[in-house]
Amino acid sequence: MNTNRFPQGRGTKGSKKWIQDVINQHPAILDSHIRAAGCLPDRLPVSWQSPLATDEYSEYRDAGFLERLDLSLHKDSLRQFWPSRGPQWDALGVQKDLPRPRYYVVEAKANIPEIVSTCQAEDPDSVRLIESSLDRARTHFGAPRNPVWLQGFYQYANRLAHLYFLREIAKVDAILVLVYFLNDRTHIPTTEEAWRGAIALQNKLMGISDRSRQKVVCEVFVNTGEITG
Amino acid sequence: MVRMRFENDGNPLRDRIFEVLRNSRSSAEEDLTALLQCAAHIRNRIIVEQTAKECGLKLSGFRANDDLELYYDLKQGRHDVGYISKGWDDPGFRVGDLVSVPRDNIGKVQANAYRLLKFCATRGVVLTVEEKPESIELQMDSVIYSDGFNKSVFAQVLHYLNVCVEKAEELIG
Repeated sequence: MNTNRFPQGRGTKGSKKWIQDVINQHPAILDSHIRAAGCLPDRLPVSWQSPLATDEYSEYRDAGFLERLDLSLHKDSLRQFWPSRGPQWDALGVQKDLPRPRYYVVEAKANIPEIVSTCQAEDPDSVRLIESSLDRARTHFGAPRNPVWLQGFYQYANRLAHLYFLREIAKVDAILVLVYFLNDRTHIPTTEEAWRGAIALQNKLMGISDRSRQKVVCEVFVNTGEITG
Repeated sequence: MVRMRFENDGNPLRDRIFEVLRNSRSSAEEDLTALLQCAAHIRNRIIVEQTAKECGLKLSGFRANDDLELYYDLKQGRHDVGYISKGWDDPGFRVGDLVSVPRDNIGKVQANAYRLLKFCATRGVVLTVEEKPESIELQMDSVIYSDGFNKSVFAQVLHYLNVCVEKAEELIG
């Protein structure tokens, strides 16, 4: 049994609803955006592993997400890299028809306030481990030391840290997919232009260059009209 | 062959426009697009000018060029309260303001921009930041779609924009 499996129930609004809709009803739409961003070869689909309707729309974190992706042999390394209650992935997928399997870990957002977050860890050991792992990731992505990695854009920072873990420690071909939903009429509608402004500001403040994200961070903009239409 | 003769109804402006079109080498489709854009420009100017007046705002600094269908600075009494603009292909009007922060305050920008980003986004205001040699410019914009542009929406958007400018000054200025 996967102890780091979190059934979500059916989402009714915001990014939870849209990621469930696109993964379960229109996976080809998401695949086409990822492909257009250069992160998925022609004709090959992603095999989405979560959040599936047949799995109670469950999301996974910690060792659970590795298990879901058949990467359980890296569980111990992850425990040394990040304390428990790490990122809970909005979606997980894999493409196994490539010479090396490619793993897709997804963070979905439907409005700009969602991108702002702060580290909530209180246990000193956990905080130390988080800071040290964020530092490793930050150095890898060529960003200067900066408090917004912990306070302000922590969620993006910890996703980047896990991408670093997958690629540099677990040595697997992993892509961080950031899905930005456009025009979400169930909550706060956001245009692509507004997203691009906020993302540029976020990367600027965190000190992350376009070059360091190239080919490993895949930003896609999915119009909610494509999913409902 | 009998040629029909029409009375001249005395619209010299229309005659001048037709003169330009007759001498134009563009396609009928291009002519039509240009005429529709001109009509939209006139209509939008009237809407903006009337609505601004209803909101007690003074307009100045009108501009229109290859990029902009229209642009006005907005004033309430003696105070600048931003601008309103529309690009030729935009679906709506952009209402915005610019806050210029001295480069000495870059630390404050780095420490607080995420708070401001969230604060503005929850009020429908998009924040972008641009570094200039002497300063950092915080650009705040809201969009009002043309079909939803009226006095109450304009007043609401300006209110939120003003609240965001005040927040920027509190956090960073």
